[in-house]
Amino acid sequence: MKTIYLLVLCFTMAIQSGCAFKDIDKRIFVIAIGVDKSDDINNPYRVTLKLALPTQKLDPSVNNTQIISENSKTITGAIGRITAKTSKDLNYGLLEACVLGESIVNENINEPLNWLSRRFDIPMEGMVALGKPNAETVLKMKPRSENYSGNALFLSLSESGSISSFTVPEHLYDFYRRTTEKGVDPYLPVIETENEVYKIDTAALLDKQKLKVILTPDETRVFKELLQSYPHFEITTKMVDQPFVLTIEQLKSRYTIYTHNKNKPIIHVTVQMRGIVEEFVNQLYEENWTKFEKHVEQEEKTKISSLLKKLQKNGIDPFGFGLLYRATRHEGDKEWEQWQSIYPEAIFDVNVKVSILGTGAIK
Amino acid sequence: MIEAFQLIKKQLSTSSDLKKELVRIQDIELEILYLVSVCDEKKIKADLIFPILECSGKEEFKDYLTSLPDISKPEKDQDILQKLMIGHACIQMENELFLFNAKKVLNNQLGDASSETAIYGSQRSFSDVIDTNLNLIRYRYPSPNLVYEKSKVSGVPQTEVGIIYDSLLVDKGVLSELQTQLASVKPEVILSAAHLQRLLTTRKYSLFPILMITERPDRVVLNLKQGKVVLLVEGSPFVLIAPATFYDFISSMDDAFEQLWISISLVVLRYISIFITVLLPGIYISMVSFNPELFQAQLAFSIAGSRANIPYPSYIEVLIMMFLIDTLIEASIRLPKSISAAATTVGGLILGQAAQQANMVSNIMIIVTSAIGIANFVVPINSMSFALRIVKYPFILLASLFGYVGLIAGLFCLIVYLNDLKSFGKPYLKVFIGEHEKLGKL
Repeated sequence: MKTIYLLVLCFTMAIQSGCAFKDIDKRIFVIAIGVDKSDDINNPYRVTLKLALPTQKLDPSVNNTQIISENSKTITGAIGRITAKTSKDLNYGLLEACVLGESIVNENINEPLNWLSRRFDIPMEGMVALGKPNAETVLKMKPRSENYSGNALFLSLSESGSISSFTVPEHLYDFYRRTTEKGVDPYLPVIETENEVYKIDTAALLDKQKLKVILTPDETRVFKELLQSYPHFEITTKMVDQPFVLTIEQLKSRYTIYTHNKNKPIIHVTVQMRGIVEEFVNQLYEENWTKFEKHVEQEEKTKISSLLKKLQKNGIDPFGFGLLYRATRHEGDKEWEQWQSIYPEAIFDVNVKVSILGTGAIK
Repeated sequence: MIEAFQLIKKQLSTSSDLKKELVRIQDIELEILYLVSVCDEKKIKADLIFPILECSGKEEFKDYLTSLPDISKPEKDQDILQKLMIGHACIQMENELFLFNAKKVLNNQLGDASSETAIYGSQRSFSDVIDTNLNLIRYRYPSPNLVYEKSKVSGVPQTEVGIIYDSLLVDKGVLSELQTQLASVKPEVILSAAHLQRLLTTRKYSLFPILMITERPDRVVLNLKQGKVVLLVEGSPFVLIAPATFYDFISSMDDAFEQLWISISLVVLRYISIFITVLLPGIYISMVSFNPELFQAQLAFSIAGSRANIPYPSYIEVLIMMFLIDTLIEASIRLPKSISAAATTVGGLILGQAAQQANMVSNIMIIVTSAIGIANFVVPINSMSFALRIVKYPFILLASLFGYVGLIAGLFCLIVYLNDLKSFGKPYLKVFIGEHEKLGKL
């Protein structure tokens, strides 16, 4: 009899459920969050949330998102004000993208990043990007191709949808790691809006605090190829006054740091690529491919060298040469100080090896 | 002895099917007493009455009588009454009593294996009669080591129970424990094998069956080879097998016949189904009400959309559907075959369409419900399938109180409970990992 009483008691407890029990229809999902600098000096943060409205049927033509923005002194404060405007419980579990406005990246990213990493309910595997001109505009835009709210933003930023050689995807956990790890610096893809599409073809490079430089699309392509050994790009050059395009299918890059000569530290960068000719008007099967390979190698070598020098000049290190140095020396904390003096002096020795696998055409 | 004979005559005189025959031919004089309903009168006539005419005298007939294989002498008075009840005729001749076995068995037809089907296994199940069942087992397991022990539960009237085992392979501990437990069973009548199974279960609050119950002769033979003990019950087409492990209830006879990869995949499929049928309602509640971020975004939005019109919290929704599906299953078992098809159609339509259109449950709940139902049917042995039907309710309670944490704690408790269970001294949750050579013996 006692057990029956106990069961009844438990069941009544279930009926009077507390705050943890909240059905899915009483929650609203935040799918993207944007942080900007506001014009108001007293309330410097402008937080924008993109909320997905539940639908029984997914219909791309129906606008089922809601955008709410608020200014406040802190991000938490702004979220608090947004909560006061919504009827349902905000749930960050499906957060897919965090867009940091250009204004805030220019100044300091530490506070928004701190907030994002501290909240236990924000998934760190979400994508992060720099919004241009500001995060609010990016979030407000609804692309035509969107299946359900927030989907297009996530697909463009990550590589689950389209894979572009100009988009460098960045996850929140990796971004956070890069801001805290000595010897490797963070980067962000830059997202702009343009006629109902997102344009993501440049990368912003940061030091631990704020924006340093925004690369051009061509530099971004080279940056991506060195960053990920993940070839999905084309190399375009000119051969005998005709455009010559090579699609890279395999890529291996290797970095080594030589400090035997104290005055002249050398960073060896070796890149091996293998690809197929994608665009060339002339016949080339009968020709000697070596001259094409040599030509492409030369072009790539100059592009890579100039990018590396640009990074060195700005004092940023997104490839993690510093981390490599720290990992391969055994002098404890001194290494980091040594590296800080080595990096500005270092000379890049770039070796590119290109091999053409095929002409892409059936003879 | 003779007084006993008179006493029995008196005691049974109210039964209309008692037949007394006084035979007086030449100098032979005998009195035959039997119950018409359980005795074969033709056999009595052919084996007892006609031979009298061929015999020349009293002595010759007596020699004939004692040499009959079906004749026996009662040891105690109590014996006579017992034997009369199960188809013996009592013969009084010159102050001597004999018992003549003239059993009339009507129900020894083999039924179709309907409650535990297998594609390649035997298509017949056991019959209601121990002797027929024993015949089936003996032919399938022609080993001189096969021992058949007649046993009886204590108390009156005694239903006949047979114990069968392979004397070389059997685990002596299990056998002796079974015998002592069987002796201590004290019901009035054992109605069926399932009844005996319940009586042999010593735990008061038991949920999982600790004896295997089957109607398949091939499963019995397989288990005899594994060194297990088989119990036959008079009047029941099912037999009991002890000891039983959890794994036995999840294995079908076809597992032994199919190719290796097929049977492995089928067993894996069944284990996944067990987890689905036990945990899915709880998982649904936890996902919908505690951690919706575990859904994919599209699914989360559409569930939120379809739940928007539902006035009840998720656990009420689940309870409504679980109640409906369990009543539907129960109804289709108990109804006559001709009506049960109609019941399932009507019930299925109501569950599938109307409940969702009336905004009682969300459309994903329909899928969850049918997944639970189908996964439950995959379990080959019904007693285990019923147990698993019950187990999901505590998980629903835990999930509605504590979400995933509750589910995991509940699963832990379930595994601890199963580990604690013993089937005649053998661990219940002995799964198929390790101890390869001992596995056959258990």
